[in-house]
Amino acid sequence: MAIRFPSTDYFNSLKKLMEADQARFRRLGFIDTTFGVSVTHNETSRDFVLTFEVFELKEVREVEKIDIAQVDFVIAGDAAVWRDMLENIRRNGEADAQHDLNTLAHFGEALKVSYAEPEGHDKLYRFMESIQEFFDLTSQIEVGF
Amino acid sequence: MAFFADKDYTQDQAVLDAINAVMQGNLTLHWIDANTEKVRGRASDPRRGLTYEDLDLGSYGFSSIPEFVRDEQSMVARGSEKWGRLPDMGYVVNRKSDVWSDNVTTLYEEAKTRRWAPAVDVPWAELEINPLASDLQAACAQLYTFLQECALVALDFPARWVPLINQEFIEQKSFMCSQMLDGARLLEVFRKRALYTGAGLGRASVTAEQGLKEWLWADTYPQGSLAINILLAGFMLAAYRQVAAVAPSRVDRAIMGYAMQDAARQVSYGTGALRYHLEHQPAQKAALSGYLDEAEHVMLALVGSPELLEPLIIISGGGLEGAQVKSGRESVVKFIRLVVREYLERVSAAGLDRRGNSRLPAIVDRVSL
Repeated sequence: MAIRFPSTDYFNSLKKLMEADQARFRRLGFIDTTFGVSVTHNETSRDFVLTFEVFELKEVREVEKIDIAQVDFVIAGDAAVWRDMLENIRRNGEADAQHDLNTLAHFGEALKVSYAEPEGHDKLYRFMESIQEFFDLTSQIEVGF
Repeated sequence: MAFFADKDYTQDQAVLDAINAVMQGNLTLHWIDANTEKVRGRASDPRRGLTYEDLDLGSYGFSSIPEFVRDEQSMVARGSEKWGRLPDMGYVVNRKSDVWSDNVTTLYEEAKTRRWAPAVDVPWAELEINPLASDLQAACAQLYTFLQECALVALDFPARWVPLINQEFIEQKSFMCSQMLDGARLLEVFRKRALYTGAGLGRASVTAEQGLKEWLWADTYPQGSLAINILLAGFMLAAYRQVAAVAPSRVDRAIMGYAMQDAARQVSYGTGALRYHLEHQPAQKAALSGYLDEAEHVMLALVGSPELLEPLIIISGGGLEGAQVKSGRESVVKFIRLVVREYLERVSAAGLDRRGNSRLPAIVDRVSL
């Protein structure tokens, strides 16, 4: 059965896959960051806060509005952009260069990264490999939109 | 310059007698009652293992390092008992707020767990399976030549200062050693990438090297850290993100993915160190601002270097055709503005608002297509 994106079920599915594939994430190293994911559809946003600790996703929760001061950064974008990325991952097993988080967020044209502190923003790049591989786990689940 | 120990130990009969006495079973055990604190270090999180933060205990901890280190000039391990005539190491950086950042222990542990190896973690064979067009290949060879010059300075800066920083700052010095390893690894991977395809290296950049030397030889550690850990590392982080976003091959994308995490640690340290410095030495704000008035021009020597700019345009646009170069130029203008904007954000967040003083925004705004 397809798991809908965006939803806490979707992120929790990736959390379980991450826990099951510890060798992959241990090889990438510690990931210690809390960030927001915001998905907009028809001018309405669904917002999530993900907390990663050591090698795992410790917690994910849906919130009414992300408090930017409480997270390192927020990745926000239209549902169509997120969908493009996840479908690309489903097709290729991982995001290709045109559809990974770095490319989509680079100039803030597809996905927008916002932050209260530059050190929070820098964590996106300190942990980019782990964050991208976390989203790449989407290749192992059925996703509906 | 040389240092000579207080005696020639081969000529010291007392030392030879002591060795013989011990070897005959007459152990002195004078060290067993060392006047030191007895604490037990334990991992607070077994997943993370035993970290330096777990050892922030009593007299051994980094929290107990005073702002002014006045009476520790030897290489004694912090917390151990000092006795006898220990040598003066001549450290010149003895003030905690000249080097420290609150995230330094975290970054040190992170640097070790997020290690990678260019020899095996980069899918080199992809370059043979999917070879690049000759224009792109030449542009990559030039880009990776330029990046080697930058990586070398990122390696040289901590190497220049580590022996001059007081041994009390163990975690700080250890982090700087990890920065050297990061710099060496980036130098290695850029060199391997440039030489893998047969294009050879490109041309050295006079403007970049003149500027980088100015940053490297800044008079003080806080000035140099600002230049290398914020200005240079911020510029390199943005460059890695740019190349990753337009990566002509899976190899380039993999290299840039790893490189950006190393550079991001460096700017995180640089920003944290500047903040700590200004919180404890607010009078330095004017001095550092004055330094940046003089030193910021190097940023233009880097981004304006044709040995960077031209290959970056070709790679960003995907080739040398007119439309590709146009697209590349549009992308690189955004890149230049991103570099300056993020630099100003970082120093401002650390307590040094340059937005009214820096000449860079007005200059990069004049860069037009």
